[in-house]
Amino acid sequence: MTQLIASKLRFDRGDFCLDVDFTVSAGTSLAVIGANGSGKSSLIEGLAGFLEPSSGQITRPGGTVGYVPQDGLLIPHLSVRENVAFGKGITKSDLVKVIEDLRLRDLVDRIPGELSGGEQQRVALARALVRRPSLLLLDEPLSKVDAELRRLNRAVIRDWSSPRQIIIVVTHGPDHASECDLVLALEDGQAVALAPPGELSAAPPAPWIKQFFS
Amino acid sequence: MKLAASVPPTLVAMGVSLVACSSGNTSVDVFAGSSLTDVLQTAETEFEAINDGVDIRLNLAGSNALARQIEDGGTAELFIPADLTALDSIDPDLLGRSLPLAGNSLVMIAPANSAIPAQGPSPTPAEALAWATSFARCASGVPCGDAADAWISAVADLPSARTISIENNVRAVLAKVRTGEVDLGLVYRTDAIIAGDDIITIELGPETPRTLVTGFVVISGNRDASAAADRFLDYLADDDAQRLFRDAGFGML
Amino acid sequence: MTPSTAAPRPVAVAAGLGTLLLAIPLLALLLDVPWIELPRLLTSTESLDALRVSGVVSLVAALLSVLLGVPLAYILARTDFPGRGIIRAIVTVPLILPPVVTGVALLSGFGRRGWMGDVFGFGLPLTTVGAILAATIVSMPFLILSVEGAFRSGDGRLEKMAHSLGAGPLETFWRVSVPVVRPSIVAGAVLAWARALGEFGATITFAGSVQGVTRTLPLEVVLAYEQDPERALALSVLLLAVSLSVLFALRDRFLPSR
Repeated sequence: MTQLIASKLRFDRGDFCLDVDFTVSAGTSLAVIGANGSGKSSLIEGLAGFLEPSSGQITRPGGTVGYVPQDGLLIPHLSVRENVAFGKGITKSDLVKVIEDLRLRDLVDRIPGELSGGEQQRVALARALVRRPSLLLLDEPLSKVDAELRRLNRAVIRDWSSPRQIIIVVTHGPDHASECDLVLALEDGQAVALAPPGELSAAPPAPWIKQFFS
Repeated sequence: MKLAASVPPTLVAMGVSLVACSSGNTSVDVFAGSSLTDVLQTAETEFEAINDGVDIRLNLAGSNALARQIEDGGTAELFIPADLTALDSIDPDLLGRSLPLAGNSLVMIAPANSAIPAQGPSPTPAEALAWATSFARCASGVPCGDAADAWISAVADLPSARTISIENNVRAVLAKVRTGEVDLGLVYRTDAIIAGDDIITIELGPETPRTLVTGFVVISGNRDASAAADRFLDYLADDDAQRLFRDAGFGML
Repeated sequence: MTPSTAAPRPVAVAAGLGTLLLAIPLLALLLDVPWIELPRLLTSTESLDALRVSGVVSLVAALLSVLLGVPLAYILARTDFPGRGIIRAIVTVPLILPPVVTGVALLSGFGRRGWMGDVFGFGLPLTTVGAILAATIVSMPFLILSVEGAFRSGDGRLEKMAHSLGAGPLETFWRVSVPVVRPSIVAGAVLAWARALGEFGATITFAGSVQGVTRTLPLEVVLAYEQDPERALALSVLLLAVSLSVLFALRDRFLPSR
């Protein structure tokens, strides 16, 4: 299996409900956009397996899943290096390269509490990339990183991606969304559009989407 | 505001009820060694039945601890230690009239089904000591401990390797033997009688240490209570109460 | 309501009485202690034996509390299974049960005439192991309560992340769950150790008072009070000093500096 299939997924959180139904094929990147509270994070958490869907089914591509939550979720008592290397399936050369690429070399011996929010996000990103996941789930991964570094880090993500890797990224940045193959627009837990970014910006189905791209 | 105002009357009401409670009756505080527990509880009931308005309050513990409490200003009207050795811990000026009440003696006890190897029909203390691996006794300084010291130094040489549990009062020694957790104990004969079939008794023979239970009126400022304490002491020395001592296994004077 | 600087008079009076109630005996103890005699009293054979027994018993009890209590706290905080409430009741009831009752129960379980004696032919009373057992049972609840709360305040996301990074359940427990609650484990262990050091009722009932074997400092204090009250005072002030040190070490936990 190389596709990601979210089949009739429903996440019911009492006062809030998220319904999605989509398929993403291998090698595709998907940006998820929407206002705060539209269900973006719930979707990513669900796809990462951190949130149990109340109904429906998720079929993930074979291989590992790399998940970068908004808060990074680093292990607080481990150093940057130990965090990035935590777990299984990492080669030494990849570890060296990812630390180099995300400019973490000066931080490797620090613990997360000693890092800024942006630095923590970059560590979390490194931890996900180094595993070369077939499914990469990014929840506003660079929201606390400054603009210049953000562009650079997006290039790193591209650089590390393999031809068959699926990337799902929650973002508030139009330029980041424009770099993706597809954009999923969420409004109050419902998908209002799933289309290539060019199509969406040319004919936005809702005023907020028009605003997003402008 | 309302809440704050309602607090003081409650406190006043409590104060009133405390005063109401302690008036009317004359309370007599009796401090007595724990070996006297059963006899004095019965005597208290019988004495109060024939002496209206007198409330006997028993404080039962190790005799030396009680002596020290009185020395430290504890409000006792009557002090009945298990033996006269407890008087070492108290200023004699605090004590008034006294009456000897009963005698007691030390015995060795073992759990009921102990298989102590014996030459004769029943084991001797020496045979029991050779057999036992653990031993409980009262601490030196409390009457039953001083009595135990006297016997041990006169007769027996306890091997130093033996596990010896030192208890603060005789009832704790009794409990350790009764539950079978130690092989031997030295207790008063009266305690051995209380334990009944749970234990076997080994007589200590001619060297048996003896103790003398004596009641002392404690000199206190409370005249009513002192008078009632006097009466209770007389009652304890009288025939009815002496029968209670006898039934419990205390020796006669 | 904003906190006011002036408490209502009855409240202030009650608070003052409460403080006096706690302060008077401690101050009186300090005044009664024969300070000059202290070194001699604390270095008598009996005192040194009690110090040694107390040291061994309380430290081993604290260690056992950590080794057994941390997994127990984890199970109680993070898993759900039928009978969990019963397990929690069993492991925390020694907090409120009179220690003497714990001692009597220990006799039934591990005494010569208890279950253990029936099965193995020997019991643990009058042994140091027995004293350690009594101290562990009464002190482990302090560790469990402290650590369970910490485990409960974590939402399990970190463990899910560790799992998704390829760590097995045991590695996740050791490298993630336990280190995260380490401050609570340390605080719980110190509390458990202090409780074990002060343990009296269960020890004297179950393990007895054998010099150099089961007679811990509190047992020695009670015994010394019968024979040599000055030594009882000296040992008491030593235990008080230890208690104050524990309070000082854990001041951030008990004495918020706000």
